[in-house]
Amino acid sequence: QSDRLLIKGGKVVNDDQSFYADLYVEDGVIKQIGENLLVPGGVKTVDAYGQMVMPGGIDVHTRLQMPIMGMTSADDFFQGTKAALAGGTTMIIDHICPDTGTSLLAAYEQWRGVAVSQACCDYSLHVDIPRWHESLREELEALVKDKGVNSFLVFMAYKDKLQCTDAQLYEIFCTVRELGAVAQVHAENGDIVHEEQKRLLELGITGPEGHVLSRPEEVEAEAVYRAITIAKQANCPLYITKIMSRGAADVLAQAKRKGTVVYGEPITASLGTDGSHYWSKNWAKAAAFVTSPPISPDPTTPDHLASLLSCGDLQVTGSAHCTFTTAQKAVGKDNFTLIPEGTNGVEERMSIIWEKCVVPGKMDENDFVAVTSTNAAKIFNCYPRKGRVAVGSDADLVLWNPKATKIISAKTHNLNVEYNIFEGTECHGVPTVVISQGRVVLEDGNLCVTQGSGRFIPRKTFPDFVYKRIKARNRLAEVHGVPRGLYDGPVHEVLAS
Amino acid sequence: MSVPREEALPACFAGLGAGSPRPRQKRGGMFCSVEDAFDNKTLDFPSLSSSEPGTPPAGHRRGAGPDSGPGPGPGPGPAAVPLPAVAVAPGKRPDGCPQSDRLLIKGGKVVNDDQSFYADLYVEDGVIKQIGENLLVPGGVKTVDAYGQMVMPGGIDVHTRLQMPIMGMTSADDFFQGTKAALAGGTTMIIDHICPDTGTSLLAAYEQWRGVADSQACCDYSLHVDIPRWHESLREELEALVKDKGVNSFLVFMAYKDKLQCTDAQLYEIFCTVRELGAVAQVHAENGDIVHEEQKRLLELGITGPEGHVLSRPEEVEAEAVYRAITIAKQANCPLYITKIMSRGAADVLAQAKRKGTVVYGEPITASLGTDGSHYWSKNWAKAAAFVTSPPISPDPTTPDHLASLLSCGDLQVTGSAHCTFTTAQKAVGKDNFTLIPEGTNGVEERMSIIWEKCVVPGKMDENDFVAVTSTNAAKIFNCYPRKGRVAVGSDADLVLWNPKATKIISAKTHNLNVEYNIFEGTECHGVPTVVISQGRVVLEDGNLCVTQGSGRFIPRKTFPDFVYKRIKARNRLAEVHGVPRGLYDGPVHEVLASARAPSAAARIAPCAGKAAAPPVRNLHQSGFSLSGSQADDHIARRTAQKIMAPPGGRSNITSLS
Repeated sequence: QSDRLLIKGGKVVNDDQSFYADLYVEDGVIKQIGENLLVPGGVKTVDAYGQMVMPGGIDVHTRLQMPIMGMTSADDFFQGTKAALAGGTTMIIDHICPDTGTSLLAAYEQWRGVAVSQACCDYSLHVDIPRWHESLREELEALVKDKGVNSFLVFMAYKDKLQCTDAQLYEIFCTVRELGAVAQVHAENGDIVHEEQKRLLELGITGPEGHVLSRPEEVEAEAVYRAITIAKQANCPLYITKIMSRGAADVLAQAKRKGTVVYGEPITASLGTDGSHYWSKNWAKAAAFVTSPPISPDPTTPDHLASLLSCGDLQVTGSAHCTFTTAQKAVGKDNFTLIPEGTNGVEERMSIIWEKCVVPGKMDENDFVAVTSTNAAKIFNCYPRKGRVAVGSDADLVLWNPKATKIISAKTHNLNVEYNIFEGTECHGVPTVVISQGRVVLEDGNLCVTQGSGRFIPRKTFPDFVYKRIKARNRLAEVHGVPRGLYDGPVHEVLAS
Repeated sequence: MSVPREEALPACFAGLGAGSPRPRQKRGGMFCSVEDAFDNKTLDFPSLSSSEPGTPPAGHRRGAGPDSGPGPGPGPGPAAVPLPAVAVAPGKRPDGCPQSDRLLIKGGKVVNDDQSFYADLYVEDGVIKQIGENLLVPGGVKTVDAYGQMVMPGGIDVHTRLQMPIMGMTSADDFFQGTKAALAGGTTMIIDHICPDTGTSLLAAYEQWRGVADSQACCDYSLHVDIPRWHESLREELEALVKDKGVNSFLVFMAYKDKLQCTDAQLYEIFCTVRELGAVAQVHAENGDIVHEEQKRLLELGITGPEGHVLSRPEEVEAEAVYRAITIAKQANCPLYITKIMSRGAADVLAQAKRKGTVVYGEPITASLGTDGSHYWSKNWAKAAAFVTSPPISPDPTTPDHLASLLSCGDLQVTGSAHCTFTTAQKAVGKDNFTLIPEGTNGVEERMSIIWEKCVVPGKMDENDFVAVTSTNAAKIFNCYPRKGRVAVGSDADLVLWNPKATKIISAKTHNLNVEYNIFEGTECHGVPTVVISQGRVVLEDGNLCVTQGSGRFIPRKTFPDFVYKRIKARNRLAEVHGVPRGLYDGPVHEVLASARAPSAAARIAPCAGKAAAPPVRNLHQSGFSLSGSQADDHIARRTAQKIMAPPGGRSNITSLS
């Protein structure tokens, strides 16, 4: 490994334009872009002829090594970030999910401790808010001010566990706005889901198909609608994680048309496959697809989401990578509500999006960069350090070969699980070289990562991309009473009781 | 049915036979109407309890006029027919009211929701007996001249709250005043909301409302029941109401946090129950949580006037709740009826849901169609307060027009008034805090004219659509069609003669209400009811209102209205789900710490029927009803599918079920 790199002959692709140029990288930062660069001798040269040089992908949603029901998800920080790099993603933003009762700060330290020793690529952290109470306000403030966290996730599902009421949502959104952070929402109506689960179990439906039957698309769309309404009232920027269905996406798109500041995140699974597999005769395969909201059984969903992603109604993509081995999934073999939820996607994300959006001509390579990297960096405020190929930016780069082909398979993937939900998908677009922090980590098919080399990327509050409009509206949102004389007419007596 | 010779010139003949068929304007003033009122009241009860036919013959003194009214429920008297026309027809009521139980309406254009045609109507015993030309009618029949006018089914106001108790007061218009105003405006039937106090049983509240209404109402009425707080034991009460009491619609609230508000899970349960009973689920749609937060915020900002009411209940909050209610109802496969569509957003959400096939009905009200919410900012506190209702009247001035368009195109189907008035003194309870202003506006009297003015006059709808949205659709949804809502032989003679050329200006000076402000003050309406006939009796004619307190009958309504439930039933049949038959998974299973999943065992399948019965732990959080144990309908199979609520404290009692 050399810490100086010359990338020659590639087509530099940003979200706004593409151009041919060489890049010179030193100390993990892009130092020069142009032609006929003056570079010191002995520099390692990467040949990029015929390839695209893009900012590395940013996966805005992973849950590596997540503790749940006394297990942890199968891919830990090392395995997960390694897979990310293999797929062309050079930064992840992981979710901290504190146990109920644990302080958010303690959970934060715990996650940092694990990640710092294991991650192979840069990472940042979202914090989930499992149960809202007033005293969390100070913790949020501390996280925002001192810990480089600027996004918080709340749950509208998981009744009696993580679910928040509407009033709590409103309070959280107000707090989040005051802090200048981004409110994220897991949008599903937990009440209805809970009722449907009971009903289905009573009907004797215990397999993974019960999972999708108990979480119909409308329930997701409803929650998205509600979250948007509440966020609009609180004048808080909103970010919906995991857009899985047409209905949810359409609701979000309409809200944008009315001027709401809202962002939607379709994930690899919703873009790359559909939920017909829940009815697979193979329990293990069906269980591998279990995630919430579920992957839509409607086969037109991936195409629709790809279209909305291309036209800008949805802006950013994650993977919601949270894998469990079949043995772990089998905890719910007699009851679908106990199947741990999550699918793979961190490794496949870039290729799947290229395949579903760029190959059929829905987007060009600039849009591709926008939805896989730049928009995420803007929303979560690490732009232009991440998400752009520019002098001074981090040298997190992908050399993308749009002519190469790869078939996704559990046999070849870099994950700890037996099933890959994209099994057999052919992708016409492959990362050939991946550069993380100025070092080549993937080349000629060889993955060469260093455990613990990933840095924590702190993020500042009030991201411009998100908050400019919010601030303007805040100024306008003042309300005034009507000055009236005192009402001095008769007043009906009301019984004290 | 009648003698041919009489039919030629009914009016004249009547005169010949009996002499003075119309010395009726010896209006006795206050004495007469009082007397009349009592007469009718006494008449009313027997007529309800037994078949009444005896009344008409006997009635030529007191019965003559009013008695056709109390005409007993469905099958008025065949007995009335045989009795010699002459004897009764002259019926010069000693009282002032120009009443006859036989009417001929001549020369009008009959307007139904599907077509209009010119025909005469013959009415007897409160029922339309003949429609056509050159009718054969007995002599001595009172003739109403309808030339140049439209003969329509009387309006049905699907939403009133007369004499509603709230905060120790009752709303200003009681059943007498309210139904009188309704008749004055061309509405011949109202459906009032029973709003039981928390803690009162629904059945007790029903009896209370019936008691009040029976003695006071001047037009036919029916009743919705509001569900203030859901708990499992209400299921039996709903069943009793539906089966024995003629109620087929229940309202739940998504607003009024900590008071009436239901959670989503409760909504789901209620909707499931309502669907099983074949009733219609109504929803007051506003997100109470957000409203509550906004109210706190505004009061903290020092905003205490009526403008705070509308600021704390923004349009989006209504639209959100409509969206949610529709989603839940769709999950529960329950027909849904949204009361009070007040904003564009809510109406649009509903319209879109219809496009996706949801069975949902929306009810804009007089206030949302007839005025806008700019008055909340009036400098006159009393005027601003008069507009306070929930959801609020939208401050967006384009809203009435938009709602009128949706009503015209069928996206919204039915109109109410949500009439619930309070005097200024009553409203002034909230003079220092807008959250205490009692909510409600007038509209029962103005509804027909406002809709005509906003929809028919500008050409958005024709007169048939007008009949549909003011009367027919309501009758269909709430299952009293074709008895109500149609001009047809056999239907009740609840009719309006509508003069599209006449003009009226709405004003508090002339209205029939007990309040000082009319929110439609100054609105000019080009379309006026000139004659109103209720139960076959003329109650409005030549501008004179002649009503009889207590003459209104309760109209029981059956379950499973076809108009609503045909689709629901078909979907119910299709909604079965099946599991995937798989071999048992026999691979490795990760071990789970016991502590991690306490509820897990609980969630497992509760396999078969008997299991759900007799939980030793009845849900203590919800019920003041402690003698539960076995219930009257425990044997009924559907109880197996019964949903058990998860109480706030945890799900331990579910564990005990399985």
